[in-house]
Amino acid sequence: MSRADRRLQRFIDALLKERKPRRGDAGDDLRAMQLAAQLHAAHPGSAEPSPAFIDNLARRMRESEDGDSTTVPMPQRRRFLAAAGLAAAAGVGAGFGIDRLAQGGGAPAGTQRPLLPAEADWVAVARVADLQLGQMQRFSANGIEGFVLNVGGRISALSAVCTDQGCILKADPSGTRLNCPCHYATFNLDGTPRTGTYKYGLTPLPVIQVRMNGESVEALLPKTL
Amino acid sequence: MTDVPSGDAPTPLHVVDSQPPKADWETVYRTHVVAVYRYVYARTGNRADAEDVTSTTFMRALPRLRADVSDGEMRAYLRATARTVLADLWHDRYRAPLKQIDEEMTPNAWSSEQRDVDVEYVLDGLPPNYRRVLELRFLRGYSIKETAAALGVTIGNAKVLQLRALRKAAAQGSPR
Repeated sequence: MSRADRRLQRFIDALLKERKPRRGDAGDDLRAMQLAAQLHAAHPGSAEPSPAFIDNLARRMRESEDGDSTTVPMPQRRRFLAAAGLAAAAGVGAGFGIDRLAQGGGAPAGTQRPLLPAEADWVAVARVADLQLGQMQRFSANGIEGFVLNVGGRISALSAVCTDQGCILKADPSGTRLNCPCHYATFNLDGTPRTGTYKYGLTPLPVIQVRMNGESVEALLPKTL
Repeated sequence: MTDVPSGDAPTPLHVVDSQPPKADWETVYRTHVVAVYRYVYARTGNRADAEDVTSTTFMRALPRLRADVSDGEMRAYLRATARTVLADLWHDRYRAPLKQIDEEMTPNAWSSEQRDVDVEYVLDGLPPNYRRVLELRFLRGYSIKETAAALGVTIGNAKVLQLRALRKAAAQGSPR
């Protein structure tokens, strides 16, 4: 067997074992190699992707999308959120506003208060069917950024805005807490800050009132103008 | 109706994606992923490479996976993207000249029906023993030992025969 023979032989062996063939100059055998690939693909069933692969890739794509939205340089993001906060204070309603709405009644910082808008609407923020036991979902409605959670069959909702500087929290992959991408603040699923992450205590995340209405989970949110 | 979870309920929650923004590209992805994988598999011939190339293709195409584009246009775009990724692989790993890769990959076996026709075309013009060795090895997945036994030749002969058959088929030109 010539060198070229051994190379082509190794290429075929790799294909039949579903492995990546080794690197190496194809020489005059490029077409033969391509043909081997094509013939092997015609073997019944071999050219079908596994369901696990399809789901895995979908997850990676989802993660890459999420990554894109949080890798915004921090100062820019903060500036944006601060601007949104001003809008909320003016009554226009934006993600940052919930903290002020919640704490607006002169409550001391550090106590958890429910969101009590002066003028409120029940707004559908999730479908009951999508919120199985032990799942959580982000929502964005009427200027409020929040999470709806199903902890042990009890549906609840929290503001998704960090009480430190107003960054939008992300669910930790473990599903046991909410993390701030800006300064490492971390909150439990009941909205209380996790101890030890900050030198001075953080105000808990405001609770948003929810109710079930048929197929929907509705949250009590400020009326939009 | 308001239910606030108690303070120490550290039940792990599974994170669900909000439906509306995701559904858009994910539906497009699921519509096309099998066809893209088949296309790529027919040009790599092994699962490991097919999964890598399919992943790279979709990661690259992600910003352009949109539901408001027709399936045909989306398929053409994905196929073009996959071809670029494939050409890079063949060029980098096997030192294949880009121009040649481009010519070789032009015949488009997008669907599995099309591919079967191609295989028939390739095998039809071959001498019977060449045809048989390729059928056994590639289409039926026989080992070289089983192939030798089926053909009544030595293992060494079966190896040589399979290479000759492949090169002969390749020399017949691209399948249509």
